[in-house]
Amino acid sequence: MLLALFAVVSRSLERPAVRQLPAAASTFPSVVQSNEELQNLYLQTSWAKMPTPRTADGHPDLSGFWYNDLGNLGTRDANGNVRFDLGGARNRNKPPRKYPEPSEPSYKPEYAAKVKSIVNGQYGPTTTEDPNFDCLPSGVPRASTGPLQIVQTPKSVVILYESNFVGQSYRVIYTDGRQHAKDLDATYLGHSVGHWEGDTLIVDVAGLNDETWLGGGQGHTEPGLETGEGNHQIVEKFALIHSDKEHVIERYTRRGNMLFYDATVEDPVMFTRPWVLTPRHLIAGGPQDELFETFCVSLDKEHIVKPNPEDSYTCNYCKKPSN
Amino acid sequence: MSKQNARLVLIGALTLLPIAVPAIAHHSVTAEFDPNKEITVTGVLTKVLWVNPHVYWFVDVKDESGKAETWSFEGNPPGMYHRAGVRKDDWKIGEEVTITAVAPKDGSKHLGFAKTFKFQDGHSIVLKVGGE
Repeated sequence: MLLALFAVVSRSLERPAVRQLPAAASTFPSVVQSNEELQNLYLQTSWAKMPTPRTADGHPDLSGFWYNDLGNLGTRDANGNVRFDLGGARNRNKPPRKYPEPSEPSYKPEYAAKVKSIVNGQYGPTTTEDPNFDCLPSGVPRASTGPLQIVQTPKSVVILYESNFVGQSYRVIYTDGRQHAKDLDATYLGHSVGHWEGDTLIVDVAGLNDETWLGGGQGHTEPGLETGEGNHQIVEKFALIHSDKEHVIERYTRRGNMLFYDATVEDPVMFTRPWVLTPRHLIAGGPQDELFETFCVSLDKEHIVKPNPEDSYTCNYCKKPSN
Repeated sequence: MSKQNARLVLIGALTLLPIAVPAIAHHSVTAEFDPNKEITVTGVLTKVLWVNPHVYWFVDVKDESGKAETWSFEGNPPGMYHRAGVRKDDWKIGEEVTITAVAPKDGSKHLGFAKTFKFQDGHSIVLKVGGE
């Protein structure tokens, strides 16, 4: 009995709840209207105001674990009771901050019609037509959300994706001056070459196949601010298809403990003009944070429903695509 | 109650629909499950699949004729649990457990989204997905 009690207590000590939100550092505007204002907002956070680590060659050091604190809480009491609370650290009574509408690609009419037909069969943001349900890599730029780990060397930057949506995957971004080969085989995450412009790593991605989406599903979540409001959902929320002529320019800029990511996507087959996506942000993990193995097993696809008159999904978040 | 008997209880629409329907991984809860329809079953835990995009628990549940059927229960991504201090070995294979879950909308009989695990020694694991 005593031994059992000891086991329970030691178990609770061994695995304490590990996270805490930073204290509110300053006041932030409740309405953010443009991407420029969004960038300024994140530059004002204490994460972005930390010193930026640099490598021996003077570039910002992107290495490390990057994620978005989702505000999940875990507790464990002396009797062994465990409680997980998704987003439990968020203040759910706080009115949501108004963020800019996420930018959406401008499709040529025939492809806009295809996007619309997929969206019309979605249950809210969810449809089994989404390649994520088959555990396939998310493509670029959709894969660029945390958790992920970056390994930077003078000649390459390697991104290891954990993902909460599909399985683990990786990209090697060559920064040794090479160009894309002329005979690339199109793949899910393509071929990446990068170079530094000031403090920003510019990455050119080519050789992407057309099996992925640019966005859709739940979108992704952005870091909340230091006010207990937690993250906010972004969301290139529609079935954003693309061709195998997709070409992406990504920009990675480290400011303190925050990684600013933005990208421009060209698709001469499907788009009327390049798509500039709403900037994304990731927070640097602590020294003890680790990337986990997350192979993906698809067991839920066959149970996803479509909306019907008795069960119509309604929410403010689901607007129809314009075009 | 007999340890081996399946206990299936349907609880009617007692709660209002959540205002904010949470994202559980790559789809919304309500695209697969009905948050107003709870089920409770008791059985023996046979497997924990600690994978993306959902952790799954498999439980052998005996019906009234004594025939065992495998139920599966969906959860959140494993990384979310681990970073909140919840571990795969919080569940022990072979343990008898009573699970409360929300029922699937497509009528599947042996599936749910797990909310609560109650173990024989009285301790429990509660998985709260927010908005409820």
